[in-house]
Amino acid sequence: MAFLEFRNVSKVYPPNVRALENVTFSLEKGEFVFVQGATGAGKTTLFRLITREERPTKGEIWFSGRRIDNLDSQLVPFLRQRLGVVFQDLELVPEWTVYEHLVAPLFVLGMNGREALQAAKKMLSLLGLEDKSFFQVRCLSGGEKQKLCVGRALIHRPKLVLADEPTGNLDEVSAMEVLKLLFEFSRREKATVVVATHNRALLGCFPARVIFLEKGRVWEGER
Amino acid sequence: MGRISRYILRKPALFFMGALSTFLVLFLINTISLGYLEFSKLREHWRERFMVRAFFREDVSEETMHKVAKEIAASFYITQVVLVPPEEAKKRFLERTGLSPESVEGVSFPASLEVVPKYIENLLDIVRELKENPSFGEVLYGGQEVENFLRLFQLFVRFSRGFFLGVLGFGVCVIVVITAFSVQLRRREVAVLSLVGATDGFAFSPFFLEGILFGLCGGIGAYLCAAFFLFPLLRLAEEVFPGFFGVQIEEHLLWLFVLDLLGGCGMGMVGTLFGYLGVRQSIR
Ligand SMILES: Nc1ncnc2c1ncn2[C@@H]1O[C@H](COP(=O)(O)OP(=O)(O)O)[C@@H](O)[C@H]1O
Ligand SMILES: [Mg+2]
Repeated sequence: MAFLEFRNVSKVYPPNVRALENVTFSLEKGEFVFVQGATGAGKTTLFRLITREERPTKGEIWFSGRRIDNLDSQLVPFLRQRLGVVFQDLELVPEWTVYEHLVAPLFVLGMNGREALQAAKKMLSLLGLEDKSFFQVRCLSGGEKQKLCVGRALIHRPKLVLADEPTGNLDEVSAMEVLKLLFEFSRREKATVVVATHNRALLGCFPARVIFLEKGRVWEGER
Repeated sequence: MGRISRYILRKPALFFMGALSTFLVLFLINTISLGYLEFSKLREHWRERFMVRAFFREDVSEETMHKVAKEIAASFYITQVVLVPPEEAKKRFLERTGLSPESVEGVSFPASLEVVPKYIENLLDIVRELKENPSFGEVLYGGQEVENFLRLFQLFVRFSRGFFLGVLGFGVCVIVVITAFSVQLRRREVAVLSLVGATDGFAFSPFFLEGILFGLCGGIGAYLCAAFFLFPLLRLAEEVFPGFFGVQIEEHLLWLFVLDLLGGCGMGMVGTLFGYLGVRQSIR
């Protein structure tokens, strides 16, 4: 069985917005995948179905051998603990510091303070944010926020990473840095990393599988 | 614990608001409780003055007098019944007036019953019952002015009961709304924690503890205020009107402390719980 699998998944937002239609695909462990589609194609919706922020109107979603589209809502936190998500709208708390954001997923997993501090330090140097660790997020630039979001998604070393437009707020150089970070993470941890983007220019930069999304339908191409 | 202290430091205004509202409500509750204690003391004090004296008819035998006294003493609304025989009445009269026994030769002193009501607001009912009893001739008590006073008193009792319940209900509502609101203001923190996989318990625990903490602060504040402001005030009043204010303050310090702490904690917890439930519904 595949690591992540969509079977004939449709999502209709009320009143009648067809965000996804009959989406079927599967991902294996350790894959690095781009999901490319214009804005409004349904990329964010696809991710929200995996994180259970939304539920599909039709179809089944399987993750790591379990069906998650009808998962009991009590178990949703444990699903989310196994994912690393870079949210399109970042989902940061302006008053929290960079450090607090990084350790949040670790504390949620029950890690103790000293270990969490070590992990956060490592991640901060990886992101190039060492000198910002005790800045409140509202004092960061857009690009720094974006990087922080990536760091928070990776710090607990999840086996599935969903990055929704992780380069949206970044200049070209930083964008490549972030993508490299995600790519290397995928290799190092044997984790599946899915990057959603509207930018076709990014696709050629990494040896990756590409899933195209157009008006809620998928088709595949390989490069 | 680190998480909580950071929460409080970052939004101290919300913490103060919670603590302050808890404090105010508990202070009110303290004041009213003490007022009630004073009030019961006053009631006790007054009822001695509002004794009813019922004179037996001349033809009632001594045996019947004892029987009637016993019957009346059995009533729930009466604390004390004293039978005053004729000799005793005569002795008292002579003592009070200072006359010699010879000067009242031939005057009859009827036996009477002294009845002390348990609650002075029941005095009029007791008088009515005694008047209906065929063993008694005359029933004496304060009269018209006392009657008016008692009516006022009854009104006050009823009003203050309603007032107390109203204040309590309103105060608790205010605290719950304020604390719930302060959790709502931090909706984003709960939402973000939930997105990174926090269980409800994990996301809510700092708010809950914070609720307990400001409840405790408010409770301790209210207690200190009672101990260092209300009680001295009562003591002062006691000096000014000697014998009138009789609450033994030391007896009540302990339960007041417990009431304030539990009340503060409870209100803080309930408030944050409501706030959290409201937030929980609105996040994915
Ligand atoms: N909560 C929602 N309610 C109604 N329509 C929505 C909602 N979220 C997204 N949509 C619609 O679904 C479609 C797909 O949106 P989205 O998944 O965000 O696209 P993308 O991320 O590819 O830009 C869009 O037409 C959008 O307007
Ligand atoms: Mg999107």
